[in-house]
Amino acid sequence: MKVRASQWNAALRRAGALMPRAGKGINIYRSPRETVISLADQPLSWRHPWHTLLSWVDEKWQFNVKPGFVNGFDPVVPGTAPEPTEEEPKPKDLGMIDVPWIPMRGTRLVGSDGSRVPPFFKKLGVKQVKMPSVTLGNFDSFNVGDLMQAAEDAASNRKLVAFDIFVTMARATYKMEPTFTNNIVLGSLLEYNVTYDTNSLAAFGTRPRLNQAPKMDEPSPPDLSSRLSGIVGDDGLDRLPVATGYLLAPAENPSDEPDRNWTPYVEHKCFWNVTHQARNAVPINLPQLSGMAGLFALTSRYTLAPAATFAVMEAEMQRITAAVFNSTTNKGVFWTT
Amino acid sequence: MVSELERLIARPGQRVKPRLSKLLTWLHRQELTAGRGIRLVRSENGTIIRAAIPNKAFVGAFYVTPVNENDLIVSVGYVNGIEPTIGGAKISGSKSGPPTLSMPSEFEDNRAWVYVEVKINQESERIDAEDPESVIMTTGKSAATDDKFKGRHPVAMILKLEDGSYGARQISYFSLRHAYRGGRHFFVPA
Repeated sequence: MKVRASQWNAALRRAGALMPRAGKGINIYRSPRETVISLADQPLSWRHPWHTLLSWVDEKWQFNVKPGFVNGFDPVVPGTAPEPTEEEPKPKDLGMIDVPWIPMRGTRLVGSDGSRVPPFFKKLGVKQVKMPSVTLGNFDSFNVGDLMQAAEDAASNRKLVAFDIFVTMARATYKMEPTFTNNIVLGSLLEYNVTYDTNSLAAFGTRPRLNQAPKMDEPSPPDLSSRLSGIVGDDGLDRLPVATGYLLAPAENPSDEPDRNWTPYVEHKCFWNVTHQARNAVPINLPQLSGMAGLFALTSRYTLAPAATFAVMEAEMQRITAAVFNSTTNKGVFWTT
Repeated sequence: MVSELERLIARPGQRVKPRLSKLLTWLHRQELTAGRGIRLVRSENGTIIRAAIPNKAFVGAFYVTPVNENDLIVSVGYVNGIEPTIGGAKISGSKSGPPTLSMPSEFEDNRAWVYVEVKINQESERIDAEDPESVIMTTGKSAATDDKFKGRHPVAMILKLEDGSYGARQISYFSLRHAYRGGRHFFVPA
C-alpha cells in the first residue's frame, strides 16, 4: 500500500494529539518504555502529627514539624527563648506551635563511615563503605590496603548525611543506696534504700522537649553491679524518635557541606500524638531525706540476708537482687493517644 | 505539533517506511501506566483515568471545632463504648443540633484544653455506664482533678490567637478505652 506524505503527516498530527500532558494536580513521568501518570502532591492533604518538612529556608537547611502532643502539651523547642526583657528576665523556650522553622544543626555521615545505608539510598548510589576493623589487638597486623581502599571508596561515594529529631520527657529516676550493715546477729549484711531522684524533672520540667542530634543515643542501662553500687546511670529522660532527616548530595560536583543543591528526604517514625507515663508516679507527701535535695524516700527497703551455705546465699542474693533490679527502673513508656 | 514527531514529517516523494518504526517506538512510549493515586480502566473505547483525590482533612473522633467566640462543638467519640455528654446531652446531638461546650475561661500561655472526663465507681473502679454524667466533655487548663476517681484526657488544645480569635489543635483522633490502675487513669485508643 502506498502512503502519501500528506496522509502520513496527518497521521503524525493525530498521534501527537494522543500524547498525554500533565494538567493541574497531575505529574507525568516519561521513561523510554512508558508514560507514568500520577497525582501531584496535594497541598491540602492531611499532615499527620509530627509530619516533618526539611527545606532550604533563609540560606540554610531548616525543618518544620507539624506540632504533635505528649500528654496534651506541644513540646518546647530548646534554644528558642526570646531575648530577656525587664518584664521577662528569664524567658522560656517556645512551644512547637510557635516555632515554624527550626535550623538544622549537626549531621552524621551515612555510609561513607561504614554505617548502615537504608536500602532506599542504596538505589540512589550511596554505598556502605566496608571499614576494616582496627583494634589494639590487630593494630600491628591489619591490612593497610583495606584501610586505603575504604578511604578511596568513601571519597568516591555519594555523600549522604542524616540527623535525628526526637522528643524527650523528663521523669523521676530511682537511686539505690547500699548500706553495709554486716550485722550477722540480726541477719543483715547489706541494706538498700531506694529513693526517687527528681533532678531531671527539676532541670527539664514536665513538658516534653523537641530535640535534634546527629544521632539519637539511647543510653544503655547500667549493669547490675553498677546499680547495686549505687550508680544511677539513668539520665531520667525517656526518648521518642520522631523522624530522621536525610540530605543527599548531588551525584556530580557536590559541595562539602549540604547546600541548596542537596536533596532532602524525611523518614518518619511517629505518626500520632502520644501519652507518656513513667512506670511509677512519684509519691506525694513522703518525707524528704535530710540533706539530699530532690530525693524522696520510697517505702520499700530491701535487705540481703546471709544464708547457711555460700551457694544458697548466692542464689538467695541473686533472687533478691533480681527482684530489686526489676523494680528499680522507672523508665516510662509512650503510647498513641 | 510534538517536536519528536516533527522530525518524522515527510515531504512529497520521501519514503514513509523508515519513519514508521520510529513512530511505533514513540507510540509505545505513550502507553500509560498508573502511578500514585491513579487507576486506569482500559477498554476498546479508550482508557478511563480515575484519580483518587484526597479529602481536605482527616477527621477523627472527638474532633473539636470552635463555632464562634463562645462555643465549641465536639464530634462523636466514645470511652469504653460510652458516648460523652455535654450538659446532659450526648455529643452527637439531637435533631436540633449538637450540644455546644463553652469556650475555656482560663488560658495559660494562651493555651487551654478540651478534656473528656470520666468518673469511676469507687467500689467497682469502673465507669458506671448507667450514669449519664460518668463521661463528660469539659474544658480547663489542667488535666488534674480534685477527685482521684475522676480522670481527664486531653482531646484538643484551644489556642487564643493574637487577633483575639480562637483556634483548635486536635490531640485525640480515636475513641478511647479507659482503665484505672494503682490510682492512675490510663486512656488508650479503642
